[in-house]
Amino acid sequence: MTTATCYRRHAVITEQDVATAAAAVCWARAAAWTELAALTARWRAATPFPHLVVDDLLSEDDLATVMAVLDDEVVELYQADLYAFDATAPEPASAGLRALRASLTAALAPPLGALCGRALGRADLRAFGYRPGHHLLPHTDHQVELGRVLAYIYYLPTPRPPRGGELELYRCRREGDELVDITSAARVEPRPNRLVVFEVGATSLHQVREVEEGLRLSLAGWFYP
Amino acid sequence: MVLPVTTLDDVVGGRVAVVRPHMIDGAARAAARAALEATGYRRLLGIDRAAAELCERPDLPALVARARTLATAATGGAGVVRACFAVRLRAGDYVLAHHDLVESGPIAGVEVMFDLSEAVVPGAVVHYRRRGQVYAELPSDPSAAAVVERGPAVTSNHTYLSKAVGAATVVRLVVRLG
Repeated sequence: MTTATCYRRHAVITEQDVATAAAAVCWARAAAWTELAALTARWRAATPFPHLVVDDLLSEDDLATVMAVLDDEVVELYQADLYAFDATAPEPASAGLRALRASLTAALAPPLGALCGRALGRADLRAFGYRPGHHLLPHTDHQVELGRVLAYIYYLPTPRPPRGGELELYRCRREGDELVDITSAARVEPRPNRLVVFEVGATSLHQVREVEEGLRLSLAGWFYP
Repeated sequence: MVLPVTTLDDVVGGRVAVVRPHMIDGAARAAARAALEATGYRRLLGIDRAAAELCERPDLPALVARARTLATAATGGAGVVRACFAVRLRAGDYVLAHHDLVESGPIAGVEVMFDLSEAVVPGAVVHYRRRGQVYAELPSDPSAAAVVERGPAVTSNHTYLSKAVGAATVVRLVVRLG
């Protein structure tokens, strides 16, 4: 990790004001959520593994609130053999981000639980910034002891839209402890106000392709039982 | 008599980790790369572990002999060659720590790694890790060699090569002795 930075964009009133607004963000506004049967059919039919893309997730006002929450969030560089990106701490440090996590969980856990056939109880949430050269190499999020059921990414607008940074999904199968017959099967562009949700499983191999220019901003985390 | 052992890691982990500059000049590197090309590379399978090319049976006896000399100088004894291979990386390539090219089994002994690249490639680094934490590295330095004592607690990874490096190529020869 290196020196902390933050992506300030908006003037902030007070942390409490922002937190109050964040708690009221309507994450399930998109028309898609009212047609759960159709959504479930899309989920099941998606390849290479169940996933869902919902565009125009938030209203303009709610999106502005989310961006205001992020104004004061401190991110640090996280780097390992698998990844390099800026991110907030695993546990949100601000009341605003905690309120966003609560409103997102309350709104999306029920429909997403219905979608995947599992009761979902909690979610975590971090903000991520990918600058040029940042990446997250192919991996699965599956770790039995952690109990992750679904992964989600919500893309945010940035002053410099990214080139690269797509979510790439792979088709593969498991043979013993190894993933074999791996082929690229889908790419999701990091389009602002877009939510991507996908199933966490032993073969849900994916990566975030290297950002070559600009800045890719997102909120992301997992849903748990 | 009390032995000066402070942690279990001193027993099972590697202790020597040095980088020696100016070990091989440009002409010798070019000849080594040509020999590797003639032997042939194969693309590694399994992008959840590595994306790189591997030359499994390099015919570079002079460099292997140099590796033995370096290992002996650094550790007092080198043993026999347990494994020898070359790795070639291009933009977008990497080798993760949990792969570590362990096809030949657990690693113990001394590893000598030569950077045979034509030129410096920004960001092309080999990290040696103990329990996941980087404690030594071989930076991109054509002509340099790393000598690292390895035990079960030590892994290594070849860092992701950004697309910004364009057509640049990294070639590393790995000689494991023990």
